[in-house]
Amino acid sequence: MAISSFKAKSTAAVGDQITRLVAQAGQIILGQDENLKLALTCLVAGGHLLLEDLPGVGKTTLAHTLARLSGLEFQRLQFTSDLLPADIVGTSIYHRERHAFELHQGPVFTQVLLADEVNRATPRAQSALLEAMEEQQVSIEGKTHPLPRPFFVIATQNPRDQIGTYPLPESQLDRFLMRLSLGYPAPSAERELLRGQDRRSLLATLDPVLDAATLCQLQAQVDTVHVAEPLLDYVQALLKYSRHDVEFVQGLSPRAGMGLLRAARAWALVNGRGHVVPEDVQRVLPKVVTHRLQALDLAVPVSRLVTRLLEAVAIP
Amino acid sequence: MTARLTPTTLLWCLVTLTLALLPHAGRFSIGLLAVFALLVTWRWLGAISRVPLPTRDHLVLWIFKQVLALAAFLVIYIHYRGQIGRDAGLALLTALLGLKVLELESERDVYVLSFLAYFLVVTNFFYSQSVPTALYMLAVVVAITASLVRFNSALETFSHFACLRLAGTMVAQATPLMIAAFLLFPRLPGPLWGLPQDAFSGVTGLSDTMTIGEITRLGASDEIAFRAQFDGIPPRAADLYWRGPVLWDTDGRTWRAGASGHGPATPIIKLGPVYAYTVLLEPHGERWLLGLDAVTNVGDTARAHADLSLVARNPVKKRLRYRLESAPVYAARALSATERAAALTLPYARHPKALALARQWRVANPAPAALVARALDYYREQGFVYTLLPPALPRDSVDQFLFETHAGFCEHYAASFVVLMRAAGVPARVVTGYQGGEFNDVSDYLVIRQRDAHAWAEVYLPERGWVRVDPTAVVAPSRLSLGIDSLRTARTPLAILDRNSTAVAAWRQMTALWDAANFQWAQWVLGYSAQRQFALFTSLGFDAIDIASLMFALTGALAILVGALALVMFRAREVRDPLVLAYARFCGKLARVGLTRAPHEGPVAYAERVAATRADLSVEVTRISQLYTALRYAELPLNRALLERLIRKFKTTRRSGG
Repeated sequence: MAISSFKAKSTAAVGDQITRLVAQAGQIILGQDENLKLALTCLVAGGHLLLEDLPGVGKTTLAHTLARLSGLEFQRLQFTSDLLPADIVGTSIYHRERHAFELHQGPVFTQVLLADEVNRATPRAQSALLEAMEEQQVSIEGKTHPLPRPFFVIATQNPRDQIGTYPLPESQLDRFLMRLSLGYPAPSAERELLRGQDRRSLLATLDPVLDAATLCQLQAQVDTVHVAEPLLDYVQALLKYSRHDVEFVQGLSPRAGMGLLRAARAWALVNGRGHVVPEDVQRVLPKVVTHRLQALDLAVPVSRLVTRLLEAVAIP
Repeated sequence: MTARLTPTTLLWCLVTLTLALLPHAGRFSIGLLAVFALLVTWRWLGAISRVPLPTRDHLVLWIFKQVLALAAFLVIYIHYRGQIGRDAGLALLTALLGLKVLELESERDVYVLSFLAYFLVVTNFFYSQSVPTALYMLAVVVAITASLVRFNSALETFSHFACLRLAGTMVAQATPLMIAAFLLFPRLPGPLWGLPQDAFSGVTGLSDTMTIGEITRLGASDEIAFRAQFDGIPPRAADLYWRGPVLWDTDGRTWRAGASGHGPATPIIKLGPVYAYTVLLEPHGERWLLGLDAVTNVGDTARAHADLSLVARNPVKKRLRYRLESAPVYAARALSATERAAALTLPYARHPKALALARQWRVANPAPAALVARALDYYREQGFVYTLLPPALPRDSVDQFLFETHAGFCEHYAASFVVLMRAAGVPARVVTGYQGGEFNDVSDYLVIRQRDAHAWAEVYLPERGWVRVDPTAVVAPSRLSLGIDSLRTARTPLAILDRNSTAVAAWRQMTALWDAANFQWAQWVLGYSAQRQFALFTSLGFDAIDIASLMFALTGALAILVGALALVMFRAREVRDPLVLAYARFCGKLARVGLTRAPHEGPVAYAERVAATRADLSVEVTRISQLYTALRYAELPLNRALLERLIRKFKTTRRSGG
């Protein structure tokens, strides 16, 4: 049905499809259209998503819904302190009848991986996941195995719960393109939530709007979104400001800059535009940079500094 | 490096140097000018043809050049009789500049010559500081700068016009610095260096001696003597007696001020309104000052004598600005014994006829007031005429005038009247000065020219003190009510026209405007003295200004100005895209109705905000912002002109009809 129409790759059509996808997902995750769209943007940009929120606000449902609607395989992995790398990537097991080792694929061999409470695992386990995220492949006993495409990790962590956890170091936070917080639902959305049936069971009634191949095409199409020189000037001005502003411990890395531009391109595409405007950059910037920056003064929330950053840099 | 001096660049140097020298042409002897012109031509021929130049390669010519230099020194020394002054110095500079032109070869020579040309510009101000001089010199500065631009432009790719334009821009950019330096550079109370002795050789004006026939020269002169600006309404024309030197002593032909009236001033009694005013006196090289008769408050520049004349501390060698207060109706009763004696002294054995006549009157009516009336009646009855071209008086001038020619002007009347009074036993003295003035209604001040020079008499009446008697007024009342113009014969081409014709009116209006410009120039530019600088800073709220703080302010101001200029130029380079400029105009239009775009606000977000507050503009604003975004961020090959047209037509005042 709708899948075939994606092949007519006009950006406006992409915008329509995304709108439809968000509308569908909005039936499951109430009152989170903007975050849904951002999560989709992250998916289209080919980046990974970090959800930082309290338990029970719908992180898992969001991941499920995205996977379902995109027509992707879904795996969930609960991180615990005794989780081993092999539990993530899999292991080789000797097959007696065939006298050969056979790869037992771990949960990472999927298209959408929900890594729940990623900060509960030891750094060893974390780094196994992060390697997979970065390289799009895993090494098991000296052999590399490519991961399926697309490969999209949604990691969650609980910011309040700090006892017995291993917070992700900045270098690893950098691997996530975006960080989102869902927050509590709005009263009207919550009302509907309370009144309606279970969201997970509703999920089964949805038909996928995309498929893996279409998503890969979309990801390729992100590169064709036009970025004009003045916009590059703007992005550079933002990066430069973050590096010169004394309120940050350190400025944004070039990787952060590339991620910002890619996210802005994907956001433009998701909105059905073939070019990036400064507003795209402004929209995605807080999601892309907040987890990569640290305030010198711990009492000041980074999000406030990021808002100030956006207000301080003039659009050239 | 030497290869850079192409004939074109050389021509630039020579022309600009000549331009800088041009105003001096009338101030030198023809010989010097001829030598300079020859040297310049020689250098020019050397560049465009095979005429040899006096380099070391041509020993004979080289020696000739050295001889020429020595000769120039000698000739100038002899010509100016060893007086090292302004004129001699300039003549020497000109001669050496001509010789330097011959040597013009290396890069360094070009710079030396250019800077000497700049200096030559400055020297012009030793002679004239008028507005036309300043304008001409500004143009020459641009030309010299353009010559340097030409010389420095890589491979001389700049066109002549481009050189001039760049130089003009540079000079314009330097203007704020010039103004700051002008306002803030510490002014010394006196001149920075004394002007040489010969600076006032040709200045005309009243002097403190009067020989019959002298004011005639002034009578023909349109030169400005001084200007006066009253705080309120000026007094009526007939009261405008500007008092200059008072003359007490005479040898029968020449009147001199002498020392009789130089005692300490005694206060006068004001009998009418007091006028406060500012005088801007042209330099005349003497010490005396002018004030409306009689000055009641001399301010701090002038000092008053017992005879009510004013003097400055030093000879007036540059334009002098001072404030006075005067009461045209007054009584001056003081008369010391010395003064009485001086006011009755007549030269021995002169004017026998006049003396006889006066004695005759005195016998008939000894009352001083009656004697004054009798003398004035004499002028009236005997058919005296007022003329600026009186017959010569080779013998006893007073007797000849009183009894033979009966024709003369103010000097004749004043001098003869004082002689008659003294002979009749009434103390009397001659007062010189100016009478009247032309009101400039562009800037509300009076212009008093040399032709307004006047002389009148004062007699001492026991009951009233010193009383002004103007015998000229008896003979030619219009001299006072209409000014001297009414009595002058056709001298100017305009005088043959009807006095009230539009051409004359327009001409008068133009001269008034021109003089007003000159007045403001003199007032604010040339007259910007240490006191005015001090006053400026006091009015700005600074006090206790000394040279150190001025230098500090100057340095600060220059730094700020240079910084601001650099910033502006830097900015200007950044924002040159016409698209961005057009969009900035669009934002500016909206900003005027309170919808200012924040610097960080994107065009789409801005358009949405504007559309939300001004629904009537939403269609246009959305269209413009979409087009702008498409052009700037999508870089689509769309019509830029369309956007510019839309923005030009865009009006924020429009309201939707329904």
